[in-house]
Amino acid sequence: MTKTFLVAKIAFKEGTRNRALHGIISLGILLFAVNIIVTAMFSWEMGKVAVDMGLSVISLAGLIIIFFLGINSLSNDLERRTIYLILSRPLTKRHYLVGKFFGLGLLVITSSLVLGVLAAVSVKIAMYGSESFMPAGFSWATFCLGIIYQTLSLLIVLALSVLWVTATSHPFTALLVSVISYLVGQNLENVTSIISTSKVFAGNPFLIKTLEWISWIFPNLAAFDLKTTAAYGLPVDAAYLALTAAYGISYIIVCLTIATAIFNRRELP
Amino acid sequence: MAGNDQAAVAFQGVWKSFKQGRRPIVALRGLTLSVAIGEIFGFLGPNGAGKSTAIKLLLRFIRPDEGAISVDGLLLGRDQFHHRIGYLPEAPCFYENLTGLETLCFAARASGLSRNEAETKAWKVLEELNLKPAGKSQIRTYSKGMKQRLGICQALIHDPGIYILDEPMSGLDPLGRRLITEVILDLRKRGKTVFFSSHILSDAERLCDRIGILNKGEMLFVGRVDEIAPDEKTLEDAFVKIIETHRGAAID
Repeated sequence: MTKTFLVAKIAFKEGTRNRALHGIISLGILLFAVNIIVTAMFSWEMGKVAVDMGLSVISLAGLIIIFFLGINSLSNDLERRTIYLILSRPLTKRHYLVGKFFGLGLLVITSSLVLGVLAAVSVKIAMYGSESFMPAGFSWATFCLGIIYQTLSLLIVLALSVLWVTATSHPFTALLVSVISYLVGQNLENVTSIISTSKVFAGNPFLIKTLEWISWIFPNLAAFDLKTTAAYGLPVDAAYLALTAAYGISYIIVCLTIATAIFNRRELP
Repeated sequence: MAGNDQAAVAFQGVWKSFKQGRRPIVALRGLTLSVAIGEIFGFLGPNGAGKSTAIKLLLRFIRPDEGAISVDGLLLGRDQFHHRIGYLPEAPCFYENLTGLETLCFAARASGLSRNEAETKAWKVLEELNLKPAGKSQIRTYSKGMKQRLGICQALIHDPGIYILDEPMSGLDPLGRRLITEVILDLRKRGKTVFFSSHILSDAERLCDRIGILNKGEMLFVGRVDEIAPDEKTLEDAFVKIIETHRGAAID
């Protein structure tokens, strides 16, 4: 674990000093200002708009960090042979991959934390003097849960990206497949839901069941989306949260295990 | 691997090929070589001879198609051996946003040194390689020569018994080259083994106990510098003659 931690530490330090990260965080801050302005333009459901936009900005920033900073960092290590300086030490490829995941994951968590606080501030400012427009059941605890589950879904996307970097030979391919995985993971549940309620497929339970399974394999990122729950102050089911968290963590472990198995077979000429 | 137990580095009948499209390109053809403990061994050859491939095999970045490689009696692919070696890649690349000190502390900690030991040793090697004033600067501000010296620092930091240096003089000015020469001579004094590849024949002539000349994946000569071609005036003349003879033989 110490060796993994060492790799994680340098990956995190390297990431925090990256100018691209500073740009992404600045963009996030700018979007919160936009959030305040946009919310003021609505005369109904102001609370929903403010919360929804706040959480969306956190997600967007996290995705940019993963797709551009994370995939780039892993690919550069392979292309520029920075990885030689790590693997010439008594460190295995597993130490490297898991360490990189933790380091970059910590970067995503830090970004969510910083932007989460700013999102809360932007919601507060946007709703100042219009508290009556907040949904009746809204609580900051649910808002925080929304951020936590969104961050967990980002960590799943990061683990998938690590897997695609090890499985493909070009960074652009890894980026493309990661983005596609994200889009499918985010929307497949909705597609399944539409199909299952459609009359055309009503007589085909096999297709519906298969799609349901695929939506969990891909992964099902929509399950982590608590934006609506937070924005409308809907009640939260503890069992659902626990199962979703267990699914997310298991998914990350499976991705990293497969990535390590692939990477162990890969030569680094 | 019998007979190689006392060798610091040993290649035994190593073959390696790469695929270029559908065609396999043979990079090493049955390389057999043994470097003794405490020896300075120069691994010479023209571009594309297979020197870097041999070094990457030695570090286990790539795997041989056939044959066995051992480091300090430890068989690659079976035993853990990385703690016994210090490695300098050709044109080393670092995490540019980290400082030289942080990079060295990471290298030391990864090689098993404690936090305090790592920092003390890091400052010591930075001083030895004239990098102390830049220790706390980010690597992005370093010149090419400074990065090369930092590469040497990270190879030295855990004081291993065997050093594998891929083109250690590359990118250095005359002062930098002299510094690295002194480092290698100091390693010899301390009984360390140095296996280095180089294009600069004068460095090999000056530093090496023995040299090996590789061309197109075949080892053409292994021995002392004065044994290579007694009729030739310089190592360069002897080197060119050996390579040209081999090329002629290959065409015939």
